[in-house]
Amino acid sequence: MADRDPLGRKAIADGNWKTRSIFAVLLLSAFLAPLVLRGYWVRLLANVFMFGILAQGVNIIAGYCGYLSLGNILFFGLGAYVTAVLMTHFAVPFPVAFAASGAGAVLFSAGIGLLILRLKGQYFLMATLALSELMREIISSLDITGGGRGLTLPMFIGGAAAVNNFFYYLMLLLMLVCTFCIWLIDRSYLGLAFKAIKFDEDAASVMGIDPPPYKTAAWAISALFTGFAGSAFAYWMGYIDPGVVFEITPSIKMYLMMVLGGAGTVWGPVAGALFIELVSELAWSRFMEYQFLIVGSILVLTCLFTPKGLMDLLGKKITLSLFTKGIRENRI
Amino acid sequence: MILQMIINGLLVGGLYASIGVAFSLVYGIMGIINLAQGTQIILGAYLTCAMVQFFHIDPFLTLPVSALVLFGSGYATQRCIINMVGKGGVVLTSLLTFGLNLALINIILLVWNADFRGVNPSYSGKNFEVLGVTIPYVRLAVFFVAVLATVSLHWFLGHTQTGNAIHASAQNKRAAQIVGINIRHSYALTFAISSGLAGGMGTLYVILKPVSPFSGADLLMILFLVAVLGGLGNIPGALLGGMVMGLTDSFSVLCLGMQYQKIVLFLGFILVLIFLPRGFFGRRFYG
Repeated sequence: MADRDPLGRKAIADGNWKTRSIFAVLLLSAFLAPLVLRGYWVRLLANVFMFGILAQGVNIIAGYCGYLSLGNILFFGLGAYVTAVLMTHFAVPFPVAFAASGAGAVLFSAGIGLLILRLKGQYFLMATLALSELMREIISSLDITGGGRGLTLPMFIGGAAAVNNFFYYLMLLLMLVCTFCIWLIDRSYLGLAFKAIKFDEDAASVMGIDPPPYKTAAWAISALFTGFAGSAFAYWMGYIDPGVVFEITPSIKMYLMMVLGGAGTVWGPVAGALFIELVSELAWSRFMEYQFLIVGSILVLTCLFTPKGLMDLLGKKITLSLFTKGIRENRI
Repeated sequence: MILQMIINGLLVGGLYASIGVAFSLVYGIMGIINLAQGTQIILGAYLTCAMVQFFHIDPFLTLPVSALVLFGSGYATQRCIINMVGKGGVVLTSLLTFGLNLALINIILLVWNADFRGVNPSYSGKNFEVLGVTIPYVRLAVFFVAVLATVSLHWFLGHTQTGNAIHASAQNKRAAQIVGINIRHSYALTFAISSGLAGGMGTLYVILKPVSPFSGADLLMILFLVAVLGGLGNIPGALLGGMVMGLTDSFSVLCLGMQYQKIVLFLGFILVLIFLPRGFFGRRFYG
């Protein structure tokens, strides 16, 4: 059990004082960061936390259940548009719109999930890709969503610093709540059921786990947080259109972050989000025209060399053979 | 009018079928969902555009070149990259092809830019009439080339030693190795054939419609639908799936207009997955 989940369960829940104190310091500095950092860094970190939420969203369904929901960006777009439509056309305050976004994403995912999660993984991933394209097309052609022109949301009242801080703490809290949920799931019967489905679905159903409701639950939790993130994003940006919320890069980045950090671990996706977003901001944001190439190549390299994620390398002696292990195991 | 729509649908359907077969083949033999397939088709299309622009030759003549370039790069991709995670399951291989797709889009964007490109052969407007139905020569030629490619692929898999080796490595990896088949090679060959077919179909596609580097996403949906309708991994099924797809395409334009064409396509695919996930034939043939 110990090596299965090095940081998620053992180190933080029952771990030694050293890892606990490192964790406490990180958490505290995350809460205090806006007091000392400039606006640029606050916005950057808020963006990191948003990607952390998205990566955790795919972690629940893909990392734990083994079902690739490649079109998970659809809940982000759905959440963003529910908030935007409610706030512009119905003058609903943000907290209500925020809650409605989460509820909308859950209802949508549960309704569709009961139908398409009876399918095997490869069909499900095709279905989710189609669903996200469908959602984008529908939103682009409706009047209430402003079509391709997009929607401009009411402004957040307050100065630039207040805006930055509000969304920083909102994203940070959402990410922590999301991670806490995953931590709870990881320790519970639900998490065991998810892992059993990932390991061998037929065996799981023989053991008394009926896969479709569990898979739907996983997808609904994933949708809930992704929808929340979309809602916060819409209010933060103040303007959304289908091109912005259904962009191709985030939908692949969230998978890259999950795999790089460690699929099916509690903190892996957050670490992946931090790593990828910081490196992308510092290293390749100047090469916009190469962005797809870099993200795609890192995803390929990650699948080849660290398929279990960076979290898996923690506490191990770093050798070359550690990185070729994946290839030795998976090569045909 | 109805007859015209049926003929249009069937003519495009031949092309769709061929695209679906390329996708279905890789899934049927190796269990890999090739999410880069749509962009591979676009790459073939761009190669054709470039050759037509530089050498001023007939677009149909560029088909072998597109197909060969994609064949070669497909072989290398499978041999050097995808084979390395082959046993990692559908999650890992799908993520890998997802990443490859993004990288490939970027390469196309860097070489050509984001503009729509098309070719316009001098004879593209010519057509003939049978029973009041107008049939453009170009569409007819595209149909025949696509069907010919599909049928010869089917023949190749069923009647040659290499084809049998590919079948064998799909049915039982270990037994295939025992009788002397190098499955790394036959997997790479499968992927190469699929990519080559995709590249050739890119040539045909761009003769009918202009493409952009991002058109791959729409094509991916089309080939999903065709392959699933025919039953994943089933080549004759994909032919039928392609025809159905082509008919749906032309009738949705007729009844609902261009703007809802994509919505019909995506919604149709999801409905097929819900109600008919195993396609028309009910079982997979390969693998």
